[in-house]
Amino acid sequence: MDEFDIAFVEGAIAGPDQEEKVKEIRSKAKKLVAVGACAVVGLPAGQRNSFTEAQKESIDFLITRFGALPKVLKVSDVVKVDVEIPGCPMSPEIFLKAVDALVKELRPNQ
Amino acid sequence: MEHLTKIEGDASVSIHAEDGKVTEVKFGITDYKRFFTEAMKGKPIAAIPSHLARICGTCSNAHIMAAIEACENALDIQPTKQTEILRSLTMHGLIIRDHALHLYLFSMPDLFGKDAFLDFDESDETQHQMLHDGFDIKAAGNYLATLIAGRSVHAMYPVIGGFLHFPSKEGIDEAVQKLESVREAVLRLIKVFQDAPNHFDRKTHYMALIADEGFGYINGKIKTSRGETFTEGEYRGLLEHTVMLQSQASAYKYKGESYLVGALARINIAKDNLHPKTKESAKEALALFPSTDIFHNNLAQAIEILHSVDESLDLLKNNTFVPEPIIKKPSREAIGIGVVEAPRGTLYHKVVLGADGIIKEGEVIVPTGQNQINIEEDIGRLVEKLLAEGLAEDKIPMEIEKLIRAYDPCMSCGAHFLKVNWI
Repeated sequence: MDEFDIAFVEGAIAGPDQEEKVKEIRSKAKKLVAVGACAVVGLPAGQRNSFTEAQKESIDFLITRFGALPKVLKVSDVVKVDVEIPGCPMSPEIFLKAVDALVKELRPNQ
Repeated sequence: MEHLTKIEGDASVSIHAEDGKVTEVKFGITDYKRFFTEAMKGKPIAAIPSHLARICGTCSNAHIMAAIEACENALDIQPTKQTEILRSLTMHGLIIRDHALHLYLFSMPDLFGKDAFLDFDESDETQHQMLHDGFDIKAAGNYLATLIAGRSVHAMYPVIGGFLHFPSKEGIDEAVQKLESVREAVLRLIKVFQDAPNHFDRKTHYMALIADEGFGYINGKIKTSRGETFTEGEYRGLLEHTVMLQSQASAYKYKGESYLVGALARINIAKDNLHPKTKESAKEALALFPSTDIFHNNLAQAIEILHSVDESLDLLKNNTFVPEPIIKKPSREAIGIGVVEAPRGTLYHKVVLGADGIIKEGEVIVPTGQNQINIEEDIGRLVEKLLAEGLAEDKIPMEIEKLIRAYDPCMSCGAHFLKVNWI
């Protein structure tokens, strides 16, 4: 994996492999942007976190089979996030403003 | 080391080959399960379409249409004629944008030996044209979807019982202008995929929801390549659930055999129902169907873009849209079924509604799940074919990726994963 000026991460963290991946990305990125509701607040991907005990029991064999994390995490639960673009779908206006600002920050003389 | 360049989904393939024979292929969708059908339970019916829309960030509006159909079926709501036209336009906007995304951004780089669409060479006339065509067509599809449904992803205007907002005359005029201006680009796209060099022939069964009249994506009967016809209500009974342990998505068989859904299935079964202008302009390409070449799924999608352009232009020019109230009916204990053709194939939603208006349970069967077994079997046969032709082992993963992309699974970028175990 190469170095990143800006790494855009979408989606929540549902498995240990994803946790490792996002940590690696964070270590190689100057800026990390969490894009969309799943990355920023962990929903709707993390909807199983609020299942009843009975519901959790009924899906447990699948969590085990695929080695998913006990709770779905948002990106900031795992790494430091520099910018958040909320929304489902993400807001194009906020995205463009954020990217503009980041580029100015990283390349102030251009 | 491969890295994912596009942002949809994840898949894995492991292949065991011995002496030119493939002994095992395992294709699995590795996106972690999000348990939408479990999460539906306990939600009020009004929340279901926007909830199930979030299953996918590209064919979202198809999920909205299927969910609305299922919920209206449960509540015994018949949409008005205008609502049906607006829903058709929503689907056409989706088909134009989503097929263009797949064809230009996912499949076309392979044809030009590029990793990504944005790597295309602007100084090369053809690649320059393709770059502009791709974004123009996507923009036209986006514009139509935004005008009619509010957004091209997770649309807000379509609801159970009707629409919350209606297109303005100015908006319609602009949509017409945009769609007319991209028609030439679509013809160029059809030519590109008509002439594309990759072919993989394999006989399989097909299934699609086919309209009683015309070529649409919302209403109709399920037709199979065996010549059978079923109602939407009978659809679930046709599908035999099959567990693929390595995959987080369910797989399905029909009468014990794998089958294909998607543009190739639709064009194979119902090409005669396409818009007359489409049939005229794409005559040469259409002569290749019915086809058993999986790469013709790409060509079929290009033809469908043209049909959606032609059909939308008719619908926009020949109708005036007026505000209509949302149809409401009291909750009741009922089962509702909705079946639509999403861009990638037949999509099925079922809701079980309680008298209190709360959903007790539901079911969703997505097209990519239905194509999984075919994809796995095709990979095995392709690898054997390539080994027999003497292709270098390190070139094989790329060929497998091209095949998987032709299916347009809802995780195309996941195709940059390949791990081939050679024994």
